[in-house]
Parts: sequence; C-alpha cells; structure tokens
Amino acid sequence: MRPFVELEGVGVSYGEVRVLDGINLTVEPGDFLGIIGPNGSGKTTLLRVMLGLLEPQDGSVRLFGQPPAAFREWRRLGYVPQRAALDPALPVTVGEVVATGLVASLGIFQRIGTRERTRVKEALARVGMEAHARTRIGALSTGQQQRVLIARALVSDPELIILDEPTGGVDPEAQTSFYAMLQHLSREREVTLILVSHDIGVVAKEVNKLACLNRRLIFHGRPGDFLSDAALTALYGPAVRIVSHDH
Amino acid sequence: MPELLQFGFMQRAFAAGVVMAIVCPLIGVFLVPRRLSLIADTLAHVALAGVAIGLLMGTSPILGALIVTVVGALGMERLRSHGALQGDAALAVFLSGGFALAVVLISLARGFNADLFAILFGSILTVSPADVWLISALGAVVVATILLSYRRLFVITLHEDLARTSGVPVTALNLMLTLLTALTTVVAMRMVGVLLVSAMIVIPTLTGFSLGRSFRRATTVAVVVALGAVGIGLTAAYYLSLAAGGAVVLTALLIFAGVAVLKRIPWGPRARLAALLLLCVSVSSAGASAQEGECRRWREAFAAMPVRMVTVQAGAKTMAIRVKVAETSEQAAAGFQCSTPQEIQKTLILFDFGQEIYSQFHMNNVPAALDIAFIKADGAIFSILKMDPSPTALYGPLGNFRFALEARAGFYESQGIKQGEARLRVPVPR
Repeated sequence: MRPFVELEGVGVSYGEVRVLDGINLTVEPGDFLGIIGPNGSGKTTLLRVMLGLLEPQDGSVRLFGQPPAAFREWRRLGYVPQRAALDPALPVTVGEVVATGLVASLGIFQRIGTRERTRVKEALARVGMEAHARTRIGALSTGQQQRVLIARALVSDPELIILDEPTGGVDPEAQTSFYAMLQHLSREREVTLILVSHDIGVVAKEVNKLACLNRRLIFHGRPGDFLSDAALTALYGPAVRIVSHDH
Repeated sequence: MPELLQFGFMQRAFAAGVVMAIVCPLIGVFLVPRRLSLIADTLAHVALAGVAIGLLMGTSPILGALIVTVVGALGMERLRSHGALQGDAALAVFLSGGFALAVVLISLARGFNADLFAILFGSILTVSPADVWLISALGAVVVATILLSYRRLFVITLHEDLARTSGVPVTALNLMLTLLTALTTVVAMRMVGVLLVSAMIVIPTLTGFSLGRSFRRATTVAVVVALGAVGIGLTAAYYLSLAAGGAVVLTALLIFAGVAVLKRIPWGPRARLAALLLLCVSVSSAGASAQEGECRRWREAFAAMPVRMVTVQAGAKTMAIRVKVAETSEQAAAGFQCSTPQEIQKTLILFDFGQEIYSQFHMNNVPAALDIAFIKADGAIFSILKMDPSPTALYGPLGNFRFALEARAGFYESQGIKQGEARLRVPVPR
C-alpha cells in the first residue's frame, strides 16, 4: 500500500522568510504521527501543505499517491482545525457541523436522508456527544467543540485524520480522555492519525512516530529514540528537558 | 381582496417585494457571517451605473443594471482573487467607481430625474409588469442555485479550510455567490432603492441569527422577517403615503430591535415568538386602521358625488358626457383617491370651484394615470394635462380656472378634444 502522505524536499517561504526547508516526510497507513515543534517552527504551514491548502515553492507533495490539486477522494481524509475555528456567534447546531463532513460524499441533488442522519448520530456517539446533536455550537465548552470537530472528521469514515493543536485550551482531564479516544481510533479502527502540537511531553507518550520541526525536520522516528536523542537539544536548546507527567 | 390589492401597481409591488424578501436573506446568511455584507452595497452602487446606462440608451434600466452588475461582480472577484487588492479595498474601489461613473452618466443626460430618484430610493409605482417578470425570473435563478449549493455554501461559511479539505470548490462557489449577490441587488433595487439594498440583505439576516438555533432555522426566520417587513412596510407606505423602500427597511429594523429587546426578557422561546407576532400584528393593524379611516373617507365622498350630464363642444361635434360632480370641498379633496383602476376607466369627475381660482392637483393614492382639462368660467377648455400616479407630484395649468374635468388617460385625445378649441357646457350652473 502506498504511503498516505509523501513530502519530498518541500520548502516554503513567505516573502523573504524561509518557513520550511528541505522537508522529507512519509506517513504510512497505520501511523500515529506527532508533529511537534516550538511556536513559529512551521507546524501549521506544514499541515497546510499536507492538506493541499498551500502549494510549496519547492518540492513535491502527494496525498494518497496523488498531487493535492488532482486529489478527488476527500472522503478518505478528515481534517480537524483548531477549535477556535468556529464562530461561536453563528447559529449552528452540533448536528449541522457534523453533517458538513458528508459534503464530499453527497452529490448536488442528493438530500440528507435517514442513512446520513444515522451516520451523524454514530459519529457523535463515538466522541461521546450524542446528547448534544441539537445544541448550538457556541454553547459548548472548548473540549466539547473539539469533540464535535472530530466527529465531523469521522463521519465520512476517513482513513487519515489530520488534527491541528487539538488540545489547545482543553483542561487536563478532558485531554486525558481525548487522547484515550485517539488511541482507540488508532488501535481499534486502524485510522491513520497526524497530530500537530507544541506539547512535546504529552504527544511523545501517545504517538508511535514523531517528527520534530524547526523549519527543517530535526528528528523523524520512534518517540522513544527522540527523548534520549540530542535532537531535543537541537530543537529547543540545552535548557529544556522533557518532564513526563503521569496521571 | 384587501382594498390596497385592487390596484395593479400595489399587486406588482407586493409581487416584487415577496421575491425580494425571499432572495435577500438567502444571500445574507452566507455573506454576513463572513463579513462580506459590503459586497451587496458595492454591487448596488455598480448597479446604479448600469441604471444610468440603461436610461441613457433608452433600454430597461433593470436590464442595464443586470448586465453592468454582473460584469462588475466578475471584475471585483478577479481583482480580489489575484490579490491585487486586499479584501475591502477592492470593494471600496468598485463602490466609489460605480457611483462616480453613475454620477457622470447622469450629468451627461438630463431629463430622467424622476426615474433616477425612483432607482436611488426605490419606487413601487414604477414597477412595470415586465419588471415583475424579470425580477421573478432572477429571483427563481437565485433561489434554485442557493438551494442546490446550500450545503456547500454552508461549509464555506463555517470554515473555508474545512470546505476545501472536503472537496468543495471554494473559489468557484465564492464567484458564484458574488454573481448571485449581483442578481439579488438588481431584484431588490426596484423596491427599496440602490441605497437600501444592503439593508434588506443584512437586517433580516441578523434577526434570523439572533432567533434561530440552527443555521437552517435562522435562514427560515430571516426569510419570514423579510416577508413580514415587506408586508407591513408596503401596507404602511400605501396608507400613510410613505416612501415604500424606506418603510420596508424601517419595519425590518423595528422587528430587529423588537427581537433584541424581547431576547433580554427571560421568557421561553414560545412566549417570545408569540410576543413578536403580537407586536407585528399590532403595529400593522394600528397603521392599517389609522389609514383605513382616511381611505374610507375618500371612498364615501367619491360615492356621494352627484351624477350630472354635461356637454363638450369640440369643433363641429357636440357630445354629452355623464360626470360625477365634486361639489363640496370634501368631495373635491377626495377626487379619485383610493378608487380602483376600473372606476377610473368608466368615470369622469368634474370639479366646480364656483369661481375662477388658482390651484394644483396631486395624484397621491390614485392608482392610474389621468387626463385633466382645466376650464375657464365661460367653459373654455384652455389646458389639458396628463397626470401620472405619484405621492409627490403636483399638476396645475398656467392660469386660473373654475372647472377641472378629470378622465382616464388618453380620453381627450380619443374624443378629439384639444386644448384651446373645445368648450364645456354645464347645464345647471350653480
């Protein structure tokens, strides 16, 4: 099976500023990849490149073996933006948000029917939000909004889910159950996951592959190797140590 | 049928208003959350240039507006998507550019001031049957397109990147939305005027957003609010002789304000809805009853006018004509006000002021154009004018007159009666 994501020599500049340089990265089916790095290290840019939202000046990108511009099977991909992405003032219910995940698989003349409504319910049940289908999105807590966005990504039954800083602003308790849910997706449902975060300590514990980014890719491999590796020093400077907080 | 719907022009106004009330919020719910409301205002100003071109070339101003607005919308999207001008800068350029072009074109051609006034501020009297068809066709195109792409437009409204990563062609749909906004502008322009188009797109949408829990519900509420504003606003405009566009927009604002106040009261949603409905009904019935009275007064005066036979001598021909005579000042004030076009077709009103006076006639509340002959005390018909329905225009001859004879438009020409050559004889002088 081909890798889901292949980046070769990817480089991006905003004007004079080089944000990404010489990035080589592959994501294989079954991976749970954490992309970590300090603020301003190019994490979000890398994510946008992978999603086909940004065309890099250098290098090539392949999504499920195809260049993003030619990619049509969006149903296979789920994207979870940062939770601040949704305008809380907009009158939108949880059910409506989740149903937008089906837009790629429904034709223009197709209406949302019983089958689609069932899928929305199932996706909400998987993130423990089935009781909130008719709640306005602005009335939810940060963690709940994040779960809704994940349900939205899950509803089309994707093979790959890309999450952008999913635990930002989420309280520690909710974080724990959130990562348990991701583990379940990865192990039981064999969904390939890419997680972008600046929280090395937590991410390194959860993922089975780690990519450390600071304009260039400094480390790419198993997380256990990283924590003992000199890469951490290269990434954050010598003063930083990983403090593992077990709950 | 309610009295005001007996008039062709009011029927057309309501038809155009209903189309506008459905179309404007449907566009608004996708523009307002993305802070693109200014697009509508910009396209309205571009449309004004189109109106000026249409009037200059002697074609339909709506057709001119349609073509120019669509071209403007395409140009605007091009500038924006190529990043040549950022966000609202492109809008500002087109808004002022369209308006400046319109002003220059208007100064080039003098003589369509009345039409122009109607386009700037809206006019229900100038909505022709052809306009109603064009407006309905454009409205149908907008509604059908929105319904078919509703889900896709909704994802874009929610989050553009989510839309793109769901395979939604965001750039193409943005262009489509701008084009639909152009069509909507043209639809609404006739009713509320160029300067108030964006109000109809924004205000009902905001009301819907503050009342609806889901996006679908908010959209429905916005359409209902706009329909209510058109219904109440047009009725008020008819009975209180107000500018229709302003009345409709002010009604929408009143509903919006009413909703904002009601939301602060800790009632259940049902109680709030009931209170809102009650408010709408009471406002409209108060407005209607206030003016129902005035129209009834004119109708009673019209009915009470005595019928007489008079003769008109035109050249070698003498004809006997049955007329209603406005003898009292109440009857003279009433004239054809609040009558039906059918009554105007078959009735003539003779005003007798008893002596030669100087006065002018207005055409407020009169549903069809009239011809009026002004007659000296000796019966000489010295001036014949055509009077068009208008809430503001005044008509009068150069000189004093004792009698005035109002008839349907074209009556005098069809009878061969010319000013300066014909005489009126009233057999029973007062």
